[in-house]
Amino acid sequence: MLARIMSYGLTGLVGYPVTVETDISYGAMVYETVGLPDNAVKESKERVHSAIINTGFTFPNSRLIVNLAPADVRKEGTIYDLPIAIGILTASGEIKKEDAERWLFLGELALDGHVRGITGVLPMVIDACERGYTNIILPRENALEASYIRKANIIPVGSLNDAVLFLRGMKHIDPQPYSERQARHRQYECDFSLIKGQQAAKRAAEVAVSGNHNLLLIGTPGSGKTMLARSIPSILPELTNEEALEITKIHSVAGILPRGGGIVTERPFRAPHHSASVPSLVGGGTRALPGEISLAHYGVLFLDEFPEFSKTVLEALRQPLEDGFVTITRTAAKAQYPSDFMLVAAMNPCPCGNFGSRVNECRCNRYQIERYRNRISGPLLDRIDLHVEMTEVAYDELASKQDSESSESIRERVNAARLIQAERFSGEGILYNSQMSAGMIKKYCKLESDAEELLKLSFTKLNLSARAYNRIIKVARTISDMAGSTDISKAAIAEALQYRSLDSKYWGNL
Amino acid sequence: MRYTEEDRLNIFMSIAFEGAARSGLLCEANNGGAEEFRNRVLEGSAEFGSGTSAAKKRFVRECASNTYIDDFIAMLEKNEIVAVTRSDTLYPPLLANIYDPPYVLYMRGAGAYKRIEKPVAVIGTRHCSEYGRKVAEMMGEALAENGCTVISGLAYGCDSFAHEGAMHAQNNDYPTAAVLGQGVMTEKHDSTSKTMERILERGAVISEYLPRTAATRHSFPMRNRIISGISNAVLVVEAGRKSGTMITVDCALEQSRNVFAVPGRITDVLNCGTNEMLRKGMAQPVYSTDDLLCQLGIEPKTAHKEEKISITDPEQKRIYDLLAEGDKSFDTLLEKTGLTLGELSMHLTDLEFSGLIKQLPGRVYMIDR
Repeated sequence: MLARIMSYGLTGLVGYPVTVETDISYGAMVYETVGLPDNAVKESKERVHSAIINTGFTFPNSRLIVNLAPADVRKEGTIYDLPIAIGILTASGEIKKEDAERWLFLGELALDGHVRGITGVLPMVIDACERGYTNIILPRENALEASYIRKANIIPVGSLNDAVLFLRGMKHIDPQPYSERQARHRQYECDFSLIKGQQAAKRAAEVAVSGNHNLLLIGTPGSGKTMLARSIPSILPELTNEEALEITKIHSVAGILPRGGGIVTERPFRAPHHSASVPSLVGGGTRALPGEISLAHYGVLFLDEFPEFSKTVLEALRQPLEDGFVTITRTAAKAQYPSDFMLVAAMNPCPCGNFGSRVNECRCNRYQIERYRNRISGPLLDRIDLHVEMTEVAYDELASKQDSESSESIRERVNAARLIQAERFSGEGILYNSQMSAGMIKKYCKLESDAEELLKLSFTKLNLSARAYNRIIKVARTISDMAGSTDISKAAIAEALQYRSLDSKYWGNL
Repeated sequence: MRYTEEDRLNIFMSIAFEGAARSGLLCEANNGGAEEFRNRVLEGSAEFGSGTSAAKKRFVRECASNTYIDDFIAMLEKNEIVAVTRSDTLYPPLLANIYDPPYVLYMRGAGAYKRIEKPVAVIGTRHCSEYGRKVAEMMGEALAENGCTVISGLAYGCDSFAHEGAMHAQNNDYPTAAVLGQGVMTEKHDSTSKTMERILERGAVISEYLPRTAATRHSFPMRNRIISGISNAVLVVEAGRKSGTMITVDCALEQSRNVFAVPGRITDVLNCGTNEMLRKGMAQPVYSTDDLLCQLGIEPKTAHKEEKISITDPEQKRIYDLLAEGDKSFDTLLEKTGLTLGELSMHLTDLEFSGLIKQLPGRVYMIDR
C-alpha cells in the first residue's frame, strides 16, 4: 500500500514542501530511502525502525521503499523521522490514509519513540502556512517557536504514540495557542548609566545608533571600549514583529534558539572572537548555514581587537555591509541570508595598546604601528562612519562626579531621531541616514553657509579624503536630526569632524 | 679636498677597523703606532689581537695598499663625501679627546666643509610625546638661533624634532648635524629621510661607518659616544625608564660633558628617565630655553618672543585658558565649560584650525605653540 505524507525542507531561509512517499509491497524484506537523503536522513532508518517497534507497533516485514519528493533536491537533517514513521504506519494500515494525509509532519525520533526538537521550524512553518499547509504536527519542544504564526494550527506531540493516537482520534491534543509577542521587560547586563565619564564616546554611540552608522572605538586597554559596545543593544529601538520573526527565522535555521524558547525578543549582540574564519563570520559549511553577520541581523556585530581579525575575514565583510544581505554558494547548497547589522569594532591604537598613553609606555616601533593600522583597509574603513577615540582614564579626574544618563532615556531620543528619518525616507526605500546615496545626500542635506565653510576648510586642514566627505555629511545629518533641525548647522559639522580621527592628520603621519 | 699622508693613514685605519676604533687603537699600540702598523701589514708581520680571523687579516692587508685607498678616496669625492680625519683641523676638538675617537668622520652636506661651532646635543626617546616634541623643537630652535649647532641622532621621535626645530632658526648657517649609526650613503626608509634631506642642505650628516654600511643593533650605542663626544653639553628632552638615551648620557658623563634634563610630570612614564637622572644628580634641570642658554654661558640674542594671542570668542578664550593650565580631555572640557557637546566640538575645531590647539590621541587637547 502507498502512503503520501507531507513534510517540509529548507534551503537557507526559503522552505519547500517535501512529500514522503512510502510504499510497502510483497517481496523479500528491503528498507530503502531514496530522494537524495544526506547521512542524517539515511540514518533515520534505524531510528524509525526502533521507534516503531519500541512504541509497540509491528514493523512491516516486506519490501519497503521511502521516497522523498522532489527527488532531485538534497534533504538534510532529522526532520523526516516522524513523517517517515507515520508514512510506514499509514502504509501498513495502522493509521487511516485520510487521517494522516491532512497533516504536515516535522520531527526527529528517539529510539524509544519520543519526538525530539529540530532546527529551522519557524521559517518552515511560515512558508508552509503561506502555501496553505496550515495543519502541522511537530515536536513539543518547537511548539512555542511555531506558535507566533497566527494561521497555523499547531499540534505539539511528545512521542510517536501521541501522534498515532491523535490521528486515530483516540487522544485529544490541544492545538498550541497563538502567542502574541510579549512586551519584553528589557534586562541588559550593561546599561549606559554604569559607564562613568566617556561622555564623548557615549554621545558617539548615540549618534551611531540614531542613524544606524557603523562605529569604530579606539582606545588604550581598559578605557572601556568593550563595556560601551556591550551597552549599545540597550539603546537600540524595540524590535517590531516583522523584525523579531526574521531574526527568529535565522536563529532557528542556525539552531541557536534557546531550548523550548519561542521567538527572539531582543536585538542580537554577537561578539565572535578574532580567530573567526570567513565561513563562521559570513556563513557557509556544506549546508550553507548563516554566519555571525546574519545572526547579528537587526542587532549588533561586535568585533573586538578589530585588526587582529584575518585580512580575508575583514575584507569579506565589505559586501554584506554595503548590501545588507549575503549569498552563500556551496556545491550542495545555496542560500541568501539578510545581514543588516550595526558593526561596532574596537581596536587598540597600536599593537601593545599604549600609544599616546601617559601611564604605560608604548614599546611598539613605527613599523609595527603602521602595519597594525594598515590591516584595516581603506575601503573597509570607509564603511565605518564614526571613529571614536576613548580617553584614557588617567585624564578624567572629574568624571565620577557626573551623573550618567540611563539607557532608557537615551533610547527615547534614538526613537525620535529614527522616526524623523523614517518620515524623510518614506518614498526612498531606505530607513536610515547611513544608507543615503550621493544623490540623496544632495537632496536632503542642506548645509548652513558657515557649516559649508567649515567643511571646506577642514579638507585642507585635516587632509580628508574625498570619500570622507559623504561620511561626514551623513553623520552631520544624523546629529541635526537628533537636534530636530532641518538644515545642518556648523556645530553639527564640527561634531561630525571629530568622529573621523583615523582620517585626520594625527593618525596619518605618526 | 687634498688628503695628506696622515689623513690616508687614518682612512686606512678607519676602513680596516670600521666602527671599532677601540680594537684599532689596540693594534696600533701593539705595533708602535699607526704608520708602523700599516707598514707591518704590508710586510705581513703585523700583530693582530688574538681571535682575528684569517679573512679579516687578508682584508686588512688588501686595504693597506695605496691603490685601494686611492680608489676609496675617489669614491668619496664622487659622492661628495668628506672624510674628516683625526689629523684634520675640522675634526671636532672635543671628540679627539675621548677614549676611543673615530679615525675618520665621514660627512655629507653643506656643513661638511665647516667647523662645528658651539655644539650641543639634544636627544630623547623615539617614543616621544607631544610634549616632548614641543620641547625638542623649542630647545633646538633656541640653541640654533643663538649660534649653536644642534647635534642629534636623527632617530624618529625627539631626535628628529630637535633637528627640525634647529632648522627653524634663520640666522644660523650650520644649525644642526646628525650623527648616524649607519653609513652616510645608506637610505633611511621612514619619515626621517625627509628631515635628512633638509639637514643636507644646511647642516651635515656624520658617521664613523663607511658610507654604505648598513645599521646593526650594535652600531647605535657606538654612535651615541660620538653624539656626546662632539658636543659641549647634552640636553635630554624626554626619556623613559629603559630608553636608549641613557647610553648617550652614560657616555657623556664618562667624557665629562655637562648633562641637562628637562623635568617632567611624575605621572608620565616618558619622563621617568629624565626625572631619575635629576634625582641621581646625573643631570641638571633646565626650566626654559633662556635657562639652558645661561647655563651654557650664552647670552640669549633674541628677546623672548611675546606672542599675543587674540581670541575674539569669549568661550574659545575660556577653553584656551583652561588648556593653558595643562592638557585636558574632551570630557573634562565638557564639564568645566558647561557647553553642549556640539558647541564644544565647534569651538575646539575652530581653535584647532587656527593652529592654537592640537588634538592628541585619546581625544586629549593641548596648546600648540
